[in-house]
Amino acid sequence: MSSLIIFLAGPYGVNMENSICCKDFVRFPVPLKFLTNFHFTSKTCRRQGVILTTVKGREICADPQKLWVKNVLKHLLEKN
Amino acid sequence: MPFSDTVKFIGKVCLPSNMAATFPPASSAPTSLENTSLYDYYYFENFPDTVCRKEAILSFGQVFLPIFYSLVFVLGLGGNLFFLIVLLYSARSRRVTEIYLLNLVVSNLLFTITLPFWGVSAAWHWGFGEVLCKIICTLYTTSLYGSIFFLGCMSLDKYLDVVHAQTHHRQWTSAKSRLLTGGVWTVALVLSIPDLVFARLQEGPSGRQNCHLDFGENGPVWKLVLRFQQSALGFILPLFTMAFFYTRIVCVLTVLRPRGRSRALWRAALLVVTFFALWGPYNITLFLHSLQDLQVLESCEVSKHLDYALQVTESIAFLHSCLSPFLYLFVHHRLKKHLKKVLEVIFKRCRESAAHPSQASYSNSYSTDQEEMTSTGNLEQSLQDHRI
Repeated sequence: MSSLIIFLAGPYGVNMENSICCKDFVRFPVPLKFLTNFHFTSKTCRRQGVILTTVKGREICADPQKLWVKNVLKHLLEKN
Repeated sequence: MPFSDTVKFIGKVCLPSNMAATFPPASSAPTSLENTSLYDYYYFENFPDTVCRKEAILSFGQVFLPIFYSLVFVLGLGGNLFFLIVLLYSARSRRVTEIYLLNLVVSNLLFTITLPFWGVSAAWHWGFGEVLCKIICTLYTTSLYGSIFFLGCMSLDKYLDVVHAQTHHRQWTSAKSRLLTGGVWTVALVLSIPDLVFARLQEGPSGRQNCHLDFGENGPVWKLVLRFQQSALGFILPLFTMAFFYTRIVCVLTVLRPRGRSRALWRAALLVVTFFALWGPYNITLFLHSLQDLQVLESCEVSKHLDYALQVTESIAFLHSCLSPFLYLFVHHRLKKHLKKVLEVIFKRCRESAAHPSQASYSNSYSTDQEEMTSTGNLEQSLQDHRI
């Protein structure tokens, strides 16, 4: 997991942050049983986050630095 | 949104109304509870969106940027190449103004050369390799600063020409202006060193390659520093320089009241206003973007609007590379003369090749004294008149 922030060179117009980023993080732990998958947001995003997918296909942003998120990710990796 | 607000939001607004509208029939509720969908429904279906999706902005950029960059490329390349030829043709009698203008045109040309690369990068991906990524990034920054700095140099030249008119041509020799030109290129090159060092190729998901500036752990700091530097050196400094020099020129003209004064004032104002109109909106948007990085502005909607604004205002600012030589054509009398000479020679050759003997002799195009006296009032001529 990296906290690097990378941005494109040249004109800023070509240099937009990636299409899917986190504007906020979920403020409470989401139980593992509601989650099916996850993926990290791009390093070009202003806020580095992980997007958790719920059983209903809903996407929720979480802070990858939080302990509960780390645990959830570990279990999701094992599950998948 | 804090947790307590979220709970309030779910409890007060969404739960009663949404339950009535879309909740499964009462008989199926216990089953839903067992397989956890009720919990999921309450907490995650109505949970405020934390994901900010910008696919629409990228799609807009994929179409808008290549089209606009192509336009600026064609206009910029055509216009600046034409001016380059005119200026090189008039090499025999190159004055300080022409030295700066030549460098401005060269900076503009270098800048426009990078545009097709960015167009392809916006539409598709960076498919030119890491070496070109470094070269084009460096060229972009150098030429961007170069073209802005040479505008400042031209305002300095005009200032010396008008305000220190008596001594200017003797004291401010072409050697000094060449030194200043060298200094400008050196500063522009130094400012592009981060691009040369940190530009890297990075492969994203789905095999898309991007030309990145990779600053490692210090990314956020570098990003802010570079944006501040671009605003300070690429906008505020040249704007104040131009405003100062042209204000002094205006003061002198107001006191001396030479012939053609109002036209000269209008032209000086045109240069400053055009610079501000083209670069101002872009720099204001950049500033607001920096506020986002400092987390002063956090809304996803604001962020989306700023992204659209940045793509559009930046492209408009690029128009400066096509417009600046034309603007200076209006302001600088000698350039107009060079242009006239070149056009006359071209027309003469055309007429000769069409086997129509012409009465217009070559020396006609060089009858500068008469031309200067009869040409429309301009800043330089007006002051020459006044000095007599």
